[in-house]
Amino acid sequence: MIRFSPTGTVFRVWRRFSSWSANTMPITETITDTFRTNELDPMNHRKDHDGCFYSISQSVKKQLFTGGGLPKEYKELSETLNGLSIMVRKPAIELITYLNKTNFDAPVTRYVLYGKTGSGKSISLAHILHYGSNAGMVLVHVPWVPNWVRFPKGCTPSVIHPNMYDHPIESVEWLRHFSTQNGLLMQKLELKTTETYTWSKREMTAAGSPLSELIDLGMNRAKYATDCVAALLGELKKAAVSKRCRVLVVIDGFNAFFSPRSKVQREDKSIVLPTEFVLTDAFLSLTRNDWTNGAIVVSVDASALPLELRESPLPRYQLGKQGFEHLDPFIPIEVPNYSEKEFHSQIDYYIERNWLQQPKARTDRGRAELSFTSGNHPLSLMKLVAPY
Amino acid sequence: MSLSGVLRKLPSFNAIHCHLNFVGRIARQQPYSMYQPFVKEPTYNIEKLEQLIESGEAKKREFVPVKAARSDQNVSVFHDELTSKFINMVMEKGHKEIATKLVETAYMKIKQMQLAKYYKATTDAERAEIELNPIVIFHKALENCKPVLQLTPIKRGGATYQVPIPITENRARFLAMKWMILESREKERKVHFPERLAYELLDAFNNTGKVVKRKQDLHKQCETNRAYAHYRWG
Repeated sequence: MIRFSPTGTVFRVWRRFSSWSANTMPITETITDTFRTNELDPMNHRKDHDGCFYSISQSVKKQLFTGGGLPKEYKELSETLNGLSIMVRKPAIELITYLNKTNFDAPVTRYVLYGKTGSGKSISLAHILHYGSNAGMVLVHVPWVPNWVRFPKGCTPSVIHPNMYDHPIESVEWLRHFSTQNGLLMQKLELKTTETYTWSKREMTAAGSPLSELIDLGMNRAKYATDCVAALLGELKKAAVSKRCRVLVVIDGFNAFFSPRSKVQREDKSIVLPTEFVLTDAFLSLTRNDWTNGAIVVSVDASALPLELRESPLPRYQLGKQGFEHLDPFIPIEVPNYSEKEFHSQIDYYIERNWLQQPKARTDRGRAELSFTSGNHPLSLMKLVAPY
Repeated sequence: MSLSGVLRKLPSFNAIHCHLNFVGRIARQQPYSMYQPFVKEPTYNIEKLEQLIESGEAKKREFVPVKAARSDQNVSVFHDELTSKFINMVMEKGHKEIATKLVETAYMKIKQMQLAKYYKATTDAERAEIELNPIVIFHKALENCKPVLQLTPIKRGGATYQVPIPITENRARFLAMKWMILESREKERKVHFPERLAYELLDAFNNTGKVVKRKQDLHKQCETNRAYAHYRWG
């Protein structure tokens, strides 16, 4: 156990000593603020901040995570605990170091976060989103791809592309999500379309009109929303190559694009594959490394695939042959369970926010029990602590 | 899965009990017990065990045979006997994991509701008054629901009278738990049991609500039937 401040060490030793006798166990324990960091800008997060929590302001939370991005349970807990805090963990630090040192003239690098379900991939992605927002990058964020594959709210045959399928409602939602995340930045950048898009006989978007027009059209005309998304992604790619903006692509549950089946059926009851969606096509073309001035961070997770394909969390298994060849070469980053330091920091945080109420949970014995029964697995720990 | 559930499944769990079984405490023997009357109850709580060892009591019990620990007696620091009793009463058809989950969810809801009040409060004095620990709330709520009298039918001269008699500690606790569960099950279809239970517990904690009303009704009826009290004897 390593603590940075001398007072922390003293408390640690005192706690260890106190565990010898159950009768003299202190009921309340002073928690030093070693588990928190005052560095609120993710651009400055370094190895020193490993295992520390940093808080995210209400306005940033509203800007970045209104349309998704935080797991439901985590979001609810953050509302109960009166403020969103994210732990600075090794995978996020590693990614931030890479992103800070990236040569953006070279083709985009792909990073793949992998790990067991509930080990903190989505939270790490949220951290990276905040980084991208602070670094002035245009965020292209898909909160959870299986939402499009598993139970889409409406899936219709595409008007423009034969044998392909549109997601009108999801696309409108995604465009709204994009404009809440990047609204201010897009106004500043003043990006223009490079092509003329003809939607129907009367409706078209002329070359040289602002991108916001494209987004508005998609939000108002659900029928063309999916193609608007595809057009928008293409335009962003071109803008990035011509150095007018820097793009950060963040996709959670990326392996769902290569899932062997979806819940969408044709009229003859045959299953539509996720690769037959127009949205899949658009996002797969964005994740190729044929462009520059951007970065791509995706996560693969077993829970994004059907039940029988959840044996291993490793990228090769999760992506399958097709997905692996699509992303290759990429940099895999593992999101592991909590280390001892991260675990204690998490418990300290729960105690400070009054979430962990049992006095005995604050003792060494209580901590050891929580650590053992949860196996230092973040999601299990969160569920385990809930009733106490 | 609950903490106690996890602990129960550990391979080393039985080993812990073998180790703990050498001390016990004297209890009334149940009829038809598989144990002989002199076999002692196990002490499974580590803190109590340490107390026994410190006070020298453990030395006396070293060579006394002790019963095997029951499956719901575990060494977790979060183990609460009253809660585990309550879980057994919530349980239907032996689905203990479901019952545990229901009660634990209720505890979580209590914490959520109390924390919402806590973070809404503006002064420290207000905050200090809000109890956040769900187990403390549960204990106090049950204490508030326990009746001190009960009615029993007694036949005298061809008529049956409802006679008020004192109640044992066990019976009072049983009634409090039973009422709490029954009132929590009476709800609209959209509301789930844990949520309702959380509300009932918080109400009872503040000495209000349906369960406390039920206790008061019983007391009132005992009061009206006080004239029959002497039928208890003879």
